[in-house]
Amino acid sequence: MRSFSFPHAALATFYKNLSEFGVTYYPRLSGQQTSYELWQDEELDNDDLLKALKMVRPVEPLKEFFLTSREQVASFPQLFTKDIKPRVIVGAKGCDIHTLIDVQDNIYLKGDNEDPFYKERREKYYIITVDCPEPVDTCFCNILDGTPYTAWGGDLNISFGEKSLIIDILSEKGEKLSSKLSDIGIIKEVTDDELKYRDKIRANAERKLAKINRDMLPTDLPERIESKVDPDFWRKALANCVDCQACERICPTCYCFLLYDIPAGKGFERTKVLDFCYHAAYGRVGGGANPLANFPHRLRNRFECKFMAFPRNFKVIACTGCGRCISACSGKIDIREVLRAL
Amino acid sequence: MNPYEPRPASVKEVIVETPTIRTFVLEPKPPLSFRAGQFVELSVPGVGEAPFTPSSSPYEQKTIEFTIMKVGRVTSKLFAVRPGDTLAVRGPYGVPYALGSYEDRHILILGGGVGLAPLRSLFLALLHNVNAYKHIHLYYGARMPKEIVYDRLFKQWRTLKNVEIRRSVDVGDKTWKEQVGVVTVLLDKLPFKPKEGLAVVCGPPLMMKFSTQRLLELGFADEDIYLSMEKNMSCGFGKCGHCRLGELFCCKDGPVITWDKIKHLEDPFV
Ligand SMILES: Cc1cc2nc3c(=O)[nH]c(=O)nc-3n(C[C@H](O)[C@H](O)[C@H](O)COP(=O)(O)OP(=O)(O)OC[C@H]3O[C@@H](n4cnc5c(N)ncnc54)[C@H](O)[C@@H]3O)c2cc1C
Ligand code: SF4
Ligand code: SF4
Ligand code: FES
Repeated sequence: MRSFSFPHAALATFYKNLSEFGVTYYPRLSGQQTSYELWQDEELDNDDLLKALKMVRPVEPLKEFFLTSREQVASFPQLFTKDIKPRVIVGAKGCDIHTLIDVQDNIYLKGDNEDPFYKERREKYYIITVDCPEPVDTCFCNILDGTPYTAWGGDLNISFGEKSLIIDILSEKGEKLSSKLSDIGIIKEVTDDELKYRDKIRANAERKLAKINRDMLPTDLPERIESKVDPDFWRKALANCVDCQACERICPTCYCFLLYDIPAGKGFERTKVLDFCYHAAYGRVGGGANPLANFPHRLRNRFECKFMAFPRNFKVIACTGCGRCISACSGKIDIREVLRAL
Repeated sequence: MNPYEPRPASVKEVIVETPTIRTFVLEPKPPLSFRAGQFVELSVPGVGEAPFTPSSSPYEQKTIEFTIMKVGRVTSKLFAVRPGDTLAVRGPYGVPYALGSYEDRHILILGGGVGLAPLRSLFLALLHNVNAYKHIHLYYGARMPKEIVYDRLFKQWRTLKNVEIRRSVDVGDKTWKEQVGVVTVLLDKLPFKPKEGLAVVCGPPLMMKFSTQRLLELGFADEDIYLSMEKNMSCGFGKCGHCRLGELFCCKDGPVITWDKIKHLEDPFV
């Protein structure tokens, strides 16, 4: 792995250079959180950019770039094609990159039929991951085999030196991105002091997380969920749920969609929209029967999918502890507590 | 390859089976080949798609048939199509029956209502090589005589060698001379030992549930009970998540699933 570094003050220049590779998104302060923003070459305060970069995962999950909430996927009778252009996404955190690789890639790139649009985006989009020096109370990557930094999965990773940003090149695409930067001379070799500082920051973040989440999750979650068939358990454990579905809409691992057709000319256009299993009609079959008609069944279904079916099929839990569902919940439900109550 | 993209299929013929069930003979271009047990996503252009298992023989190359009950939005629009209209199909999806492993065994096909439709393609595939199996037992139950599908074909099926046929209706009428009672009555006095055979079941959820119970009582092994599971399906190929049943995806791990794989679930038939 090759690494280099550049001064904090050059972050805006770094973004500007990245944008030559495609439409670029970066994390931008938005109240107490950050959100992905389109880079438009405006004059931005470098300190604000840096502050945003250090914060935990943006509000939107990384998957939104790869699985848009609504997109056309086919037409009939004429053939449908789509022109997918490269993009550069800066700001994915460890928890998010793993939802893409461990969850979405397993669904959308495996099996007999790959999703061609997802695949093309995975090939063309550049992902730049960033360390999390400042985990927050909703974060729990540490009890799901994660760390508040990542050394694989993206194309480049940004970590923090005292006065510099350290870039690790993680892929061939990452090599390509960094070639441009050496052209303009903002980069230099990483020093031992920089690495020592980074290690200290990483260790601090891990200590902070260990304090936030002291207890590990049960290791036999699949079996516990399988045996929890009593609707009363789910009704009680999620008693404050108002069925707003925010937790599913914001979750980076939820992957469900449905296809619908609308008339167009003599044929139709087929659209794929993300779907959520808390929808009452999600499981409805022909004629009206519905195995998920009762709300407690749907509540359980969400947990069954992430913590039972996924690990059994793909050997990973479909949750990386990003905590978005905790922040988003209007009923203040904390998924960690539900899992511990199982 | 774009798996969301269907191909055109022109309607060659529409056969009225019962007041609510029709068979559609389609000619997809290019032809769509499938193996017994697999299913297809069929669209009425501009209305929507739904999953159906072909009811014709997989050995029939040019045309493909579906026998469909009118139950809702898409199927109602299907009932308005006429020969010459164009529909759209994509697939096939799912795991075919492992017919090779059925050789020298008794094969019990148990259908309820429109559930005989998907089983017909299995039946026709078995007939293609009929001497390879010990015996084929086609048992079928409908609610009443006028709801029996393929009445037009049973006469010829009864003449086939190596094939035993039984039928029942829940409620008979003056003309009905065969068995009366729910479909499981057909399983009384089985002419073979359950351990020497396997059973393939398709029908409404309750029929599947009670049939499974009865087959287990009779001594069929868990892995010899093949159940055609109906779940909400959108993509058909393991992506959209809708058809998940425990850890299985009915579309890509099924749609026909043996009892041993789902018996740990609370109630797979709801
Ligand atoms: C593998 C497989 C094979 C099958 N083979 C056959 C066969 O050979 N013959 C046969 O007759 N049937 C078969 N079926 C059943 C068939 O797919 C259904 O009868 C068919 O989907 C009904 O479609 P519909 O639009 O007419 O019904 P509807 O009841 O209108 O709709 C069912 C579908 O539309 C959605 N939907 C409807 N209303 C709403 C609403 N208000 N809000 C949200 N969503 C809604 C549901 O989610 C569901 O997906 C099979 C099913 C499967 C899974
Ligand atoms: S379930 Fe919650 S914590 Fe887990 S990945 Fe989804 S949003 Fe993040
Ligand atoms: S869960 Fe971990 S990786 Fe994700 S934002 Fe929080 S600290 Fe960072
Ligand atoms: S129908 Fe989409 S996953 Fe099975």
